[in-house]
Amino acid sequence: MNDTWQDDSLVAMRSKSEEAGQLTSTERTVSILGGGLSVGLGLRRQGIGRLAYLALGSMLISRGAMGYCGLKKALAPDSYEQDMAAAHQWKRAKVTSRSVTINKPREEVFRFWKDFSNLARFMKHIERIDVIDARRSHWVASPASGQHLEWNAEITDEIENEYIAWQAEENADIHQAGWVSFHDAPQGRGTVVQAVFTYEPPAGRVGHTVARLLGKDPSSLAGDDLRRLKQLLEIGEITTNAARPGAERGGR
Amino acid sequence: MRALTWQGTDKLSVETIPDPEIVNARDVIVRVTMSSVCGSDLHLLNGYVPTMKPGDVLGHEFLGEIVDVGSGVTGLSKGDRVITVSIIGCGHCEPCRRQEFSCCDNSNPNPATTETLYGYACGGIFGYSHAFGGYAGSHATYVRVPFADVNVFKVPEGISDEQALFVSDAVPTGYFGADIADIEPGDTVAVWGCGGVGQMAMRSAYLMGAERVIGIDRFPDRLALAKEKAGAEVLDYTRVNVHEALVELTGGRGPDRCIDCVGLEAHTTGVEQLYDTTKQTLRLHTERGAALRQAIRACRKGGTVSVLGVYAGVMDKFPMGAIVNKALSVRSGQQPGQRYIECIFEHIQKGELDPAYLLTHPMSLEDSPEGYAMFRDKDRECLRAVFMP
Repeated sequence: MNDTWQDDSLVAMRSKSEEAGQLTSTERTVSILGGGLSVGLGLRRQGIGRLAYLALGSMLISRGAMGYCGLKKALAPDSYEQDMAAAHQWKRAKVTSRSVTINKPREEVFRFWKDFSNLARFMKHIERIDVIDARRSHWVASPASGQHLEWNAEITDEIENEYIAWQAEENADIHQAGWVSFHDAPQGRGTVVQAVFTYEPPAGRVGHTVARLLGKDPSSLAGDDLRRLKQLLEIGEITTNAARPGAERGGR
Repeated sequence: MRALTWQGTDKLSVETIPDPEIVNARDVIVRVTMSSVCGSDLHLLNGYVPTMKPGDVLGHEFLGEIVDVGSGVTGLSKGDRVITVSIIGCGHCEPCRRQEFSCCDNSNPNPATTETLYGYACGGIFGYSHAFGGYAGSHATYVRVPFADVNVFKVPEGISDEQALFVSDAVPTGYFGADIADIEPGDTVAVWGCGGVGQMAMRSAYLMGAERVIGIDRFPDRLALAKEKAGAEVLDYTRVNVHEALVELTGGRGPDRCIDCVGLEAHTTGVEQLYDTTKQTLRLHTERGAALRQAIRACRKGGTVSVLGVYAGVMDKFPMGAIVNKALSVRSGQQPGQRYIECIFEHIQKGELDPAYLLTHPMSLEDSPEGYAMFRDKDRECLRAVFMP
């Protein structure tokens, strides 16, 4: 898994074939029978209920007849998630990834990330990261995330100015790994930072908190966090429309 | 402090709200001495921009005095008489380095809306909805200005307050529109809309080498100003067939450069007006595009259409065929004023450009709701109402 970052095929690896949405013969039969039942129920009713049952029924019948379901495809893990689950010996893996271009030299961006205590400055759901030694760090989740969570992570791989990978220690409450790569953008346009966060979706209350922490909403984690990283490095502050310190005006 | 706030579609009120303070090191606080209405505000008032919230302070074109300076600001001090570019740049991202300040990567703290709508987040704008950052506007006693070293400019001696005020937005918008139209000596430039921005685009077109400028509108007072102050020939679209008139005036070639200073609430005559208004009212499209359609059709083969009017979403019946088959260039953008301010101040000092006549109605901030109503209804020959907090 360590050489994944070296090719630019993350987008390809994270794509899903049409096969991911193919239904098995049992699923097709169940879908057609369920659809028939729904149409039958609909025909006995009046008004809105009739329409809803008929719509559901015809959707299920056509899904079964075609043998394909867009929802099934959307819920299926992509091939990179399958690889990650296998590599970490997890049941399942969720992956969120984003890239951002930062108008600063690669060495400077790498140095900022390498000091893990800086990550808490732009990761919304992380309150604090204490660096223990050259490889290990202690992460504290923000209380706003729901439940108090702390864990240790260690750097598993690193190439100066190019790549850092880390993962939560074996006995941690959460199963999480991540890597970030640093490339020169073309013609002096700064540094492309590609960050990938992977976790095993857990169950229960802890599960909800971890999901929120690590990417239930992938855009908020990867996108907003990397945008704040870009702001810190490019302009030295986090952009705000607050009229006074602490007086945020909500977004929409 | 006192501030003009948006409370709902067509509902404005002047309220007392807390004063702003320095938040980040590159901020300044400006005490506003003059703050102008802008045609683009009318789209917010009329409810065509959906990300407004009750209590939002309007206004983005203003002159004032610096009263507080953040620790990271150089070159500006308390007491400076300054204007601020209405569209905020950070100065350090790649678009800002390319002088495309309105495309700033970092100045919008609410990037999600424009990222969803347009694919990528757009720069922040003062007093211009939460989609464009949710920054408090300038119709207020004080404004907090971020990245002051990039967005705030000292007004040179010899330039009056009335002239300087419009260098915040109306002048650089018109100037930018003429600049991206790629005007060549001998060109005829047609400008749709003779409001403040249209007047400045006409004047700028002459400064950039246009031979003739033709202004199009329906309000007699605005047409008269376009003729007298901007030196344009004028067409009243309620009286003439604009397309035929333009063909006639240009020896059958058509205007070389067409500038749309109207935007998404365009007016026209006949069936097109009825069709656009009905669909817009039903929210089946967001733009009434009569002016832009006319500009695209009138433009000469191989010419340039420069779009300054505000468009927010999707337009119906967009004449793509005319663009492709006549090989037109379409250019557009929100003004990156930071690029032009020094040059515009020079034009004013040399007497080549004088925007002061745009200010037709100075008013107290307390009367600002009435000022907007007058401006919206084009009442009392109002070109720009300007509030003095």
